[in-house]
Amino acid sequence: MAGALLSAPAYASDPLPDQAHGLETPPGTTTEDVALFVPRVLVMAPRLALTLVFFPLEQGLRVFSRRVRPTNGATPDVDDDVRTVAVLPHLSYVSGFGPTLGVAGRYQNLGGNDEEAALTAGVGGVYAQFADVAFHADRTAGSRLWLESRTRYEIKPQQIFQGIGDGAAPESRFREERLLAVGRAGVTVGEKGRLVRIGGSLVFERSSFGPKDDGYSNAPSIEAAYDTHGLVGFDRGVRTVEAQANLQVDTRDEVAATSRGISAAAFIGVVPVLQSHGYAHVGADVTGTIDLYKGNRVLVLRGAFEGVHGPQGDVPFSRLARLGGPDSLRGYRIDRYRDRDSALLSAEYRYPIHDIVAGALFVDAGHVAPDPASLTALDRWRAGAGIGLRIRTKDAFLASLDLAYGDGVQLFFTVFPFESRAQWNKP
Amino acid sequence: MRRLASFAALAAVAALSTGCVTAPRFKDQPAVWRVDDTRDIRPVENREFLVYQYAADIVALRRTTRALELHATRRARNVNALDEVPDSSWFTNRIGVRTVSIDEAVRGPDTGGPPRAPLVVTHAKVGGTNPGFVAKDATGRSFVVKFDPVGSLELQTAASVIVNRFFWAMGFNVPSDHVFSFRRSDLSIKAAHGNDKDGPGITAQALDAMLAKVPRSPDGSYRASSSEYLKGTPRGGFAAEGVRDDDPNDRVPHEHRRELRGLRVFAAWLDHTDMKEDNGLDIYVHEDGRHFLRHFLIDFGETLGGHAAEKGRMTDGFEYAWDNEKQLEATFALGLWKRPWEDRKRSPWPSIGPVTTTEFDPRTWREAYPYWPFFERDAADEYWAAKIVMRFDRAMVEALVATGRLGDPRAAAYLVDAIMVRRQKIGMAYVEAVTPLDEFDVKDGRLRATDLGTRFGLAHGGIVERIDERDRVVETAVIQADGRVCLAPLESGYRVLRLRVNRGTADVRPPMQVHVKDASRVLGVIRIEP
Repeated sequence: MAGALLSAPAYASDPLPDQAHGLETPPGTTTEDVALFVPRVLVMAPRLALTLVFFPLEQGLRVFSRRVRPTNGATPDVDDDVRTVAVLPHLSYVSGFGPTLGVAGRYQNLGGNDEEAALTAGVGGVYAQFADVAFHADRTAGSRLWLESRTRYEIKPQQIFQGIGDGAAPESRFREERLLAVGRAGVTVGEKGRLVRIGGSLVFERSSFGPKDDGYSNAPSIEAAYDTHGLVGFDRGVRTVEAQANLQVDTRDEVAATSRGISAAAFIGVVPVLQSHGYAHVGADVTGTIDLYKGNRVLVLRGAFEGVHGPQGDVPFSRLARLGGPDSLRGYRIDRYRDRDSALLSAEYRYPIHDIVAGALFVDAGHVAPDPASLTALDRWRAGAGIGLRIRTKDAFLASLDLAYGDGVQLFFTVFPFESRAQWNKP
Repeated sequence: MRRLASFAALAAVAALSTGCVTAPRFKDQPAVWRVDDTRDIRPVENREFLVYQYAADIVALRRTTRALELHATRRARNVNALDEVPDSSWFTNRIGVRTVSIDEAVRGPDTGGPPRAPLVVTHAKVGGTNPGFVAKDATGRSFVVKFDPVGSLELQTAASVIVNRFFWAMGFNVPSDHVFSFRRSDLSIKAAHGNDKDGPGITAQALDAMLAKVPRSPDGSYRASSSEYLKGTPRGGFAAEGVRDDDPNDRVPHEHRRELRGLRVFAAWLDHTDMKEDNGLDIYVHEDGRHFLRHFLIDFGETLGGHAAEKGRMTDGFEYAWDNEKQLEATFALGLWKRPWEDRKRSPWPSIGPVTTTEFDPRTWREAYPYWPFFERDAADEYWAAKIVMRFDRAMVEALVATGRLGDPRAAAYLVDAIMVRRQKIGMAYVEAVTPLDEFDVKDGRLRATDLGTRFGLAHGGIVERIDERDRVVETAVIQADGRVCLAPLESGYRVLRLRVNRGTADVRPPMQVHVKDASRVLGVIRIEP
């Protein structure tokens, strides 16, 4: 509603605000206006189109702004550093699988000592469905007690199987339903920048397998390409309990926007023969960050090894060491290679784009082999390279985008709602 | 596509033929120094600050559609014939046009001093990220009380008062802000209540929890800044563009107001990067029997590097919080481009933010959140603001910095030095970018002027050239040591003098126009020729 004046002008001698210029002949069309006339006509259509597209967005944001007012913390508008509860969307994309959508909730500072609990669930992409409950505390209740637990249920309807070993083999897909439960306890020594965790874990894992679900990849189902009776564990499923000894060393200056330091994790595990599978499991993953310039141009070097060994026929195909995907050997699809041993070397250069965004150029090389000695056959290593974006604050990973080339072009995108201080070791 | 191109070409020809570039002419009347924008109006709606919509607009939505509007450079629409800003409900000429004493500047908008104990805390603070509350003092006045961030005692409480006084002296409407101290025993809580129309309620427990986290002075007292409630009814922040539909006094689109376009220069000088709509405030006032809106700038706590210090963001002042252009450049530079802020250093004192001098370039300075009036500015806006900046001398700056009551005199001296260095850079960037002739008058048929470049010590003399329409020099006059210059006798009638300053070989400023009538009076000034 246009406003109205209630009375006559009080200052009859003073001009209105837009009449102060004192110009008798105002400037006419300027040369700049003339020069811009044609470009304005040309962009008129896209401008109007965008205005129409943006209109509902703006109206939605108006409503959202009115209903969800940012507060300064747990006690609205009073303090600003107690942000303990949050619910955020979970989103990821993997080439060949499509997007995964979900939701994640976190309770941080559960007992007042940075204990962190998170619940995530989602559908789509790699998963038909998944749900994950996790807890992490470096100093439970203020003590040195390191506690982690994780329970995860997932159905993957189109897992890739492309043979065992590093040779060329036809691609196939299979279905896996998996339940994972991890309990880990130990002690934490030191502080941020020189942290050591020593402890042990029990890992329960139950998987069942079958032909791929309909409606996904065009690749054939596993039974059409391979003799699944020859794949250890495929027909009867796999149920294992693994006991691990764990050692983690963390000298990073910051967990996410790291300028310098090392993050290393190693474990030795044994899976006793409870049903039909028994084997030994070892692994190490070391990442070092070197400051090249001003703490924001860094070189991240990573080396990882995993070995799974036991009597012939005792190592399920799903427990073999694997390479390929966003966490290892980018440029190759998830689990493209699997065998008893795997080695991975990676170099990634990160540079600043924004306070919370870094660009990345990376090269990965890796190899799987039936025994550790065969990993030294350098001519059989596979390599991939690519570019990426890392979105993170100092101590929280927010999102990652990788475009890599290896045996094809692979795109990986992941939002990490709460992968912050809890750095889960993948069992 | 060919048809579209043909249409566009025809339309361009039509525009050229109907809208020829015409030379402006001024009316034969004195320059306007006050406009009438305080007429009695009906109550206006409160304008909400919708933070998510605002963020989406400045990052992407409005930013994109604005860019596609292809704005041409426009002279500010609220300037008078002398290219100055008349007094209004937005701005009152102070140090720019008259002598403002140090005492007057230090007093600034003060009405009754800081809050007087005991204080009754009535509400929690609304908005912003720093802790604070609303309280009523022993005299019945209400204040917003705010604290410093943890680990940075004095950082924001000092800046909020210092810059408040600067902006008052420049001519803006600002609230009465003070630094003051109190003890917990000086506080009591208004009987517990929930949220009401004046804000969210607060309990003693919440107050104590908040006070436990704010930094305290060595003597155990709480240091805070107070901002006295303005008289009238708050009606929200003023829009960065357009006018207020329900205010008939608001006739100049805000992005075309000289004081808001030139505000970029003031903001750059004092590193006021936290420029956004909710740091402005419209108050529906009742004065002299009339109701109207008076427009204020508020909340200067994150100036002087305070915003960078609080957010831990050294890009502050160099890049927008989300800067499409800089981030795109950085993406393709692969880290080989060392950005100017990367050499930015923190100040030696936690009470002073990283208010840089070496890396500061006013021309490339950027507010954290794109503010549309800054996008519309031209060299005349910058010159107008810069000459106001140059009128703050060292003694004045020292006195205004002292209002922040910094505990360490060395910190205060450091801040004064930084402000003075930045002032010099402002002058070089904007006064010396144009023909800085000013203070025109006609005496004995001769036009007299002052070269502000020389006056402010930014340049050492040179000559003023009068040029014809083909840029041929028809007359020269030497600039005196004090900056004064006097041209040859004028002819009668309406004369347009095209003048430019020549500091030496290849150092010639763009011409400006001075319109003179009958060799007796200056009618108007065009600082930047169309």
